[in-house]
Amino acid sequence: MDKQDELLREAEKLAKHMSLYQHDIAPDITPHARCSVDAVEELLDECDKKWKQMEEFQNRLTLLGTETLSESDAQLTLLMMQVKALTAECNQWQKRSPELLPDNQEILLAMGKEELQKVDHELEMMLSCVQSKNRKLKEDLQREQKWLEEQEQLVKALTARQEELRNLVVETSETRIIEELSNRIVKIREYEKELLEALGEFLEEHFPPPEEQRSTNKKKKGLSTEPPAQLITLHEILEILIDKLMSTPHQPYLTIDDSHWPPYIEMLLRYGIALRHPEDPSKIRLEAFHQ
Amino acid sequence: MSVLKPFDKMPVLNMATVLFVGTEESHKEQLAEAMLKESKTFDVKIHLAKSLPLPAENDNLRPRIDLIVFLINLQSQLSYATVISSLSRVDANFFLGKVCFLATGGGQMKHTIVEMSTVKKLADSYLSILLFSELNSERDCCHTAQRLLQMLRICAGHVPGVSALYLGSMMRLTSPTSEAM
Repeated sequence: MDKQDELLREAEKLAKHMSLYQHDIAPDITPHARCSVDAVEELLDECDKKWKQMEEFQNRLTLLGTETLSESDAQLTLLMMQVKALTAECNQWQKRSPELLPDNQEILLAMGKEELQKVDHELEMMLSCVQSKNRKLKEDLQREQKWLEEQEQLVKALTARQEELRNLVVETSETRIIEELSNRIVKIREYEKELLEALGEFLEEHFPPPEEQRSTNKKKKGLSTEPPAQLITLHEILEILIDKLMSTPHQPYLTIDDSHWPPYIEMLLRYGIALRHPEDPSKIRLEAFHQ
Repeated sequence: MSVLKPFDKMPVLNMATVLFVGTEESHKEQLAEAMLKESKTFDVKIHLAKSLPLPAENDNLRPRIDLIVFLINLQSQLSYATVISSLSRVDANFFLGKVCFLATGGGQMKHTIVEMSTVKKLADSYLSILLFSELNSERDCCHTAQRLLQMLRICAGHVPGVSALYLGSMMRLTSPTSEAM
């Protein structure tokens, strides 16, 4: 019995070893020492018996005739044979009783060890297989994680870039519009200045201050009147009218007084540059050319 | 001896014998080499023949044949015809699981002369297992050799509880070629 106990202990140890999933290999099972002569002889006897049985069967088999198949009915013939054979085999299995191993301690121990070794070998193979698979999975995981990290970085970089671009777009559009507008303002101012200068030159050339004319007229006509109020130039009249129209559009009228030389006013009215107030003839305004 | 019988001789201890029948010498040699390279727990004897019947003179030296593998090259009509003629030289009991057809060259459709369905029908009518293999790479060869060795182990009776008949019926049940057509 102690030998069987030993075997059981070894089996337990091996099982524990494997279940712990250790990375070292299970200890080798010491091959059993040579069996005693008795045991060997017992086994040989058993083998001889089996061999004799086989020879007997063989003799019966050779008595069987040969049977070949023609191509046409091969399938049917074979199927019939198969049915027969399968039925026979089935019957054999049903009749069969399990063969007991020789009841010899030594033999049982040796066989148990052999079986254990086989299992050990298979488990070792499985262990190494699982380990390599594990390794591969770990590598895969690492690779995938690295990839994920890279992708995340990429997303981060792209998001930052997107934000940057968005800000840039807003900025550029605002500043550009402002710039454009200011450019236009500058241009228009320049144009305005040009126009005003041209107007000033034109007026200076063709409409001199009325004082001289007045004096000449006075000379011509020889009339002497009260010293008149200081007359203003046509240029100044126009300036006042423009200012009034622009700064107070609701009240564009200018009240005519002595400082305005009547011929100039008349001229402005006649050529449609200025309009009279519909109710008050002493008031004029500039024609709204800009509307 | 004109007809090959499965149980005409006593088996040899720890030995299994396979017989390759086919016209393609290179394929037979390739397979034989691959089978011998594989590690196994029993001795393997490999016999090669172009066709059956086997020559009668060395019959007493020949061990019991456990498995016959018919090699059919789908690109050669001769190989198919040889196998067909050889089939009539095999005892019917062999077809109870101890015969296997191995079709090669089916990968390149345009070169095939013998239809794949023809071979399937052949294997079907003889209730035998049909394997396909290209034998053009070492891996393919090795894999086929492993399968054949497994079958040989069973056919030689080295696996307790599983007979050749059982294996054949099971393999055919899992891959019924007749349904595929």
